[in-house]
Amino acid sequence: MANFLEIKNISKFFTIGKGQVLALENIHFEMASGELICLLGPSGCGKTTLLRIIAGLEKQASGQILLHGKVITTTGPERGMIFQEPRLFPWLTLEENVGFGIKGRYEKKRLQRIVEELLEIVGLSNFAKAWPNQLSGGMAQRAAIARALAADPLILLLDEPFAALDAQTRTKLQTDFLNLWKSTHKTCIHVTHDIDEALILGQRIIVMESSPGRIREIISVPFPYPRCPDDPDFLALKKELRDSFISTM
Amino acid sequence: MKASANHQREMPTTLTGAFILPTEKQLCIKMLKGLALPILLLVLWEVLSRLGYINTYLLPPPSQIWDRLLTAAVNGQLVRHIGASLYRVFFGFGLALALALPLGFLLGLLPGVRGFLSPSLSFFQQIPAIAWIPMFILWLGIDEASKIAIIVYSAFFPIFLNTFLGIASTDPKLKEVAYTYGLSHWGLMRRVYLPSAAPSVFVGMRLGLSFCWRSLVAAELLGASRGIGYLIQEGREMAQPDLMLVGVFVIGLIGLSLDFIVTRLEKRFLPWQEKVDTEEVQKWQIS
Repeated sequence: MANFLEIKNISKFFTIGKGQVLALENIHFEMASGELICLLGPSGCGKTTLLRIIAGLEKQASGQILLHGKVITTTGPERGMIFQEPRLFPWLTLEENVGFGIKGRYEKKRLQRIVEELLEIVGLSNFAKAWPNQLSGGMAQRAAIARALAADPLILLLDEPFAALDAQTRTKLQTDFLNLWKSTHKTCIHVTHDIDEALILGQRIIVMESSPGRIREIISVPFPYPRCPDDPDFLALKKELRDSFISTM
Repeated sequence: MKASANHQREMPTTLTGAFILPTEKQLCIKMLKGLALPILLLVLWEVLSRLGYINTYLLPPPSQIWDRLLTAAVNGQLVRHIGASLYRVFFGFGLALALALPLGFLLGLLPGVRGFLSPSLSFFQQIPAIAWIPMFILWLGIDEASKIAIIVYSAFFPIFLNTFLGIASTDPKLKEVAYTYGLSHWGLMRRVYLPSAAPSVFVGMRLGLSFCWRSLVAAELLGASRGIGYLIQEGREMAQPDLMLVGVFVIGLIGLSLDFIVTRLEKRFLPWQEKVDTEEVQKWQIS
């Protein structure tokens, strides 16, 4: 069950001025395949850095990341990253954006079908030919999710993907994302600074604290999906989490 | 899905300053607007000449210039000179493109190159192509080679600089996206750097074409047996101000056309850029 993804004693320094600051200290956890984990922490706790290390976009000072027991050192198509901004290529239409990562991997017809299916899933079928700048923020972010899914990664890494959206859109995308996760059963690491979001999405929540960035506690969320934010148990856990969260700052 | 209908009436501009108008009616209005001033000036000029307020030897009236233009066009003189000038421009501009595009592309990919290049580039940018004409004639002779060299020189810097900057300023965030999909170096260049730099490359091409067209005419004034610059020179030698003005206006009109062609090409090759600014485009809202 475990050791699908192992994060082993990851440490990372940042050079600030002449000194070195410990950004991540001895981060250690394991994930099962298909699990959805939320990394929750205040800004500056290194949660994004950790995600970028897992994605292979940054190098750790020490420690290892093992996927299926194999060490990961660089980026790879088995890990899909979704950034805080949609980061769509402005010179490609929506469907070309979604197909970006798999262009050349499949023959044209198959590629077209995959892209169409994904656009259908994220509800953007009518916008296949649109340019990214014609889309609203929520639509662009859904397109970015579709683009990441197109490469059919084993793991989805989400870096506060809904943080820049308005509350209504965020709630909708959270629900959509949960449905997507349930149907695809991708392993997901979802970075957020929003306690509600962590509680609505995460099977487990890894609470991080800052300076140095390290894991404070790992909480299993016992509630079934879809979760109701007004449920007394939910609220009790939220209060507990909030107290813990505030003391991390 | 809802389309929000916000139709702004002001003219949208592209990054390169070209107007984009979606409907034919607006296109006509734009043309009329653009033509109003020149027509007004021409009419005023003609009227003042007829009334005797302008010395027609110093400044021949538009009708006389028009007659001269027709004569020159009919006897083939004009076509020959225009042809000679355009041939030089296309040859020289093509050469400049062949040099500046790959060089700008390669250097743009190397980090830290900018510091080495900037002072030298600024130095050469300050020197107008015309200042080089005597040297080029000394090195390459009075024939075609020196004129082509001047065109290459004038067109090279804007194309090179804009290509270089376009590549160097490729959004690192988009590069990261490409990395996560494990693109090869070649793939990254072709699918991220190149399209990202394309608008800037077009700006460079537009500037380059306009620069080299201008300096070409200057080169032809100094020593040529054909070309529009030579036509003006001929007008001077034969004391025909109307012929000189024919040359001057032809320069302007061809320059305008060349610029128009590049702008068209840009719209064709970069449709996503056009959409950035077109007022027709609706912003879709999520619902």
